[in-house]
Amino acid sequence: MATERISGRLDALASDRSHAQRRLVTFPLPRPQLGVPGSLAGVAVALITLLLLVVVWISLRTSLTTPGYTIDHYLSLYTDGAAYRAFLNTVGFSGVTLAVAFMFGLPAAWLVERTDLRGKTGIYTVMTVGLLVPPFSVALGWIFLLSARIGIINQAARNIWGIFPLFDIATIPGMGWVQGLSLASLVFIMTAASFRAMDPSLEEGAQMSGAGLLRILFRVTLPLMVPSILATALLVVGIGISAFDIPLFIGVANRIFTFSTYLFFQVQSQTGVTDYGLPAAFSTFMACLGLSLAWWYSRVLRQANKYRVITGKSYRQRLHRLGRWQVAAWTFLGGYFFVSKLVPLSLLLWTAGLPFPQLPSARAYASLSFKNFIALPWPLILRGLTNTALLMLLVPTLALVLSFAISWVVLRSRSRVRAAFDFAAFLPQVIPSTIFALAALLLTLYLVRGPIEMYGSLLPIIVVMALIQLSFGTRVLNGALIQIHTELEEAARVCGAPNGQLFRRIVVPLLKPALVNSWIWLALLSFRELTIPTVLYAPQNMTLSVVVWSLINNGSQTMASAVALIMIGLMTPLIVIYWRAAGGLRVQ
Amino acid sequence: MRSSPKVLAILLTGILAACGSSTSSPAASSASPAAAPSRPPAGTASGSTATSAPGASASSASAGGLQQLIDGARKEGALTLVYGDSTLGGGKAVDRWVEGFNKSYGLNVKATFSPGPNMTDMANRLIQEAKAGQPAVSDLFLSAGLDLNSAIEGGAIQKVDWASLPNIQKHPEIIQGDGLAIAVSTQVIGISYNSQKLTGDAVPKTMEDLLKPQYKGRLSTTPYASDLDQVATPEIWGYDRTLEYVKKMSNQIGGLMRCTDFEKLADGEFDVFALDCGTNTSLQWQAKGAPISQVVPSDMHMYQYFYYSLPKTAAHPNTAKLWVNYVVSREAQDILYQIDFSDLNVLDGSKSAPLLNKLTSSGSKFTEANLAFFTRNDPKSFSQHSAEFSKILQRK
Repeated sequence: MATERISGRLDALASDRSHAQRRLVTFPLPRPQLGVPGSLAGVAVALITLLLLVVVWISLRTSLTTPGYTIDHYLSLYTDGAAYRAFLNTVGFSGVTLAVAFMFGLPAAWLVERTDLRGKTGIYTVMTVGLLVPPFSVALGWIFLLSARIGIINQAARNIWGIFPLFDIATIPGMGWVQGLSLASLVFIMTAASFRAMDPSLEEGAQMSGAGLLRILFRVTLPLMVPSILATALLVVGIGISAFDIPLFIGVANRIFTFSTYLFFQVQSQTGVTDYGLPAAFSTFMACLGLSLAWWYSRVLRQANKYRVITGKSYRQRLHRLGRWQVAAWTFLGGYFFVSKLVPLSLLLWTAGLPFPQLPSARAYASLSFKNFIALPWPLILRGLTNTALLMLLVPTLALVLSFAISWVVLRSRSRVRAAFDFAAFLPQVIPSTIFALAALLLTLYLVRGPIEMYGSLLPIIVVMALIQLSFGTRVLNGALIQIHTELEEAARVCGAPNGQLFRRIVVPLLKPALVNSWIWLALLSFRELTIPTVLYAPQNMTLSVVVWSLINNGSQTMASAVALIMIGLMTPLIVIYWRAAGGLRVQ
Repeated sequence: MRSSPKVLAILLTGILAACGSSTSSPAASSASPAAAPSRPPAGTASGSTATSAPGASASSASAGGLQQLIDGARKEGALTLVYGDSTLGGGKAVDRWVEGFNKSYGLNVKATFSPGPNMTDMANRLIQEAKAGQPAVSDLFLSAGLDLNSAIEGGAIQKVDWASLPNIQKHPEIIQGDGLAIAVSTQVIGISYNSQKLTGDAVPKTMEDLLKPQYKGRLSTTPYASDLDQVATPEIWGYDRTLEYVKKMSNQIGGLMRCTDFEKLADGEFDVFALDCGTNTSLQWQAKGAPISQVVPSDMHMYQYFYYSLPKTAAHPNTAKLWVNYVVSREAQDILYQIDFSDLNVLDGSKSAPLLNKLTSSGSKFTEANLAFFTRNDPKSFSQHSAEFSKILQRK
């Protein structure tokens, strides 16, 4: 009986233990709480949706000043031969832009972040300072060099070899080359953070197996970078589609229209009432295109596990030694800097001293002076500078806060609509800024009234710019967040850490390289942004870009060059300080 | 993280500044005008010819009206002007005008000029603001005839008793649309060219000349077929002739440039630009030392005006009306010509009048593309023709 009792108790104990073990095995890990990030992401998506609805409404209105609805804008878009030509031009232009941007940007990022190349702060500075050079100056420089009619290089090629033209910059490949050179900085900024955060253990493993540097690069490093590369490529394509400055200053002179300039001249008809219906109809087409791109991207994100390279295990970043390849690396970087930064900067210096832009000649040299600097409209510039400084501070901060919220929802939540969040974040990139801003203008004009008067203030500009920058912010943060294994967060949750502590102590420090790179880039994009401040324009919210644009439109490219030079002079030390401070960041 | 409170403080300050920017008074773009001593209201701006008002009662009535405007302007104390910096002398002209304006009327008004969007966009904006009951972004709308017509049809412009103002009384012909606008400067449309590349007989004399083989690839025009919609009216060439011309022109042009892209003419990227946007642009570039000249084609003569009109929701209407009165004074027109190389040809002492007089005295018949011109020729036809011609010219 005692044996039976002991046996029974042993059986009961065994049953209890296995039950407890089953309970331990099936005990669920704490789910990621959406909380504040979810609310913020929801607000951002709601705003984007609201603006989109206004865009669709505009596309169906006869015009903004006459009542009635119509589908004529859609018919006009889809039956206009010029629209198809512009579409084909845009595809070609974006393709060349993408190729050139990656040709320079990706290797530069790898060299800076994964090798023992010196001068990293300097390289970051030069990459970012390039953004301060106004596009018209870049375009003018390339026209002076490679215009079929007046380009110095083409004229020299004709005189020396009898070849004319050697290369015409006013072609789709030429324009793509110029745009790609400037966007290489974007590729650099976006991929550098991912290169920096990568755990070298996989590369070390490949090296120990006997793989050489190039083999490691193409079989290990780059495949791990696929989400980041893909996100960057999507953004570059989006920018290529909406790029305006280079197609305007170079393409239009040769009657080459991309979608942006085609729409611009549809809207800027100079007669009658401005017709926004056509670009609004185009926006709905671009929204569908954006949907397909976002869907393709989301399929990559589903396999995020493959790309997680930041885990709970500590690691030290290992840099490849270049050795004698340093010379080749510097030749590559130096060549890129010379062509993409030094030439436009030199031209800026040249035109800022002239009474009007002209090719170098003895007569032009004799007319150099400081008159442009003295004659600048300083009260206007100071007003623009104040507003621009506010934008540079507030827009990237708001954009990154919202981007983080959306990336968190997309990659960490199990919400069924998380793909919709990602799509909504990407959408503003492919829809023309003009239309987005116009939608915001109409909302503040008619609907948004209250204790804070938004119409004519800086606030709608800040909100719209931040929403448009979500596409960049979410691409960068998606790529960075993918690399972080969830075990780090799970460990924190198991220990009872709330979301706030989780973000502050674990996630944000790991995302710091991406956040730092993104913030400065978005700040400089805010500095350059022209379309949104122009549409939402009021005397009180005028930005420096609007002042510079007005100088250009006044035939004062030389004074605009003077303003740009002053800004580069003011901003460069700040950028150097920024990168020096940011350069100490390393993943622990 | 230790600096988080500081960062938050900076951000909060920025947000408050951004919200408050719409309510704070705009900074003056010009130097603050010196406080003018109080003096009896001037019937005309200083330096202009004496007023010969028709009849004492009309004179006293206008003086009474003027005094009311001056009192109203004193209370308002400000004027906000938004238009293109390349039209009517832009900010430079405003900076100089405000001194003479305040001196003439014993005021201390702060005039803020801000470069703004093109006239078509401004018309659209003013219409929307009038519909929404929001204050107009500019106290005066500066425009050419067609955009003015659009703004009027959109209900954005208010009628003013301009004839009661002394400087306008002298030249009632500058009042347009029964009190809806005032002409303030004249633009003679022509062909601009690079005077280093084209000299002597090589300079085109007519629009038809531009179709000759020697100009193929050297000619440029605007992407929006500037002014060709007006040429297509029955009063000038008519639609069929203009369409034919545009088709041939499309095969001649080397490319496109906007009216503000004159550096493409100056640096030799193009040799000829037609139709340009007025004599004053080529004169401005000449003053900079650029090799640019203009010729008025003998087979197409047209001049047009820029107008000031008062938006329905202008925030400072009294100051705006007084400003217009000042701008058409001789003093203001002289300042305008110094800066913009344009003025109003019908006013006494006009510096642009001799060119027009010379051309008309040679037997050339000019079409005055004023507001009435745009209203008597179907306004919708301008948009339609402009769109059609633009498509032809933009196609390679």
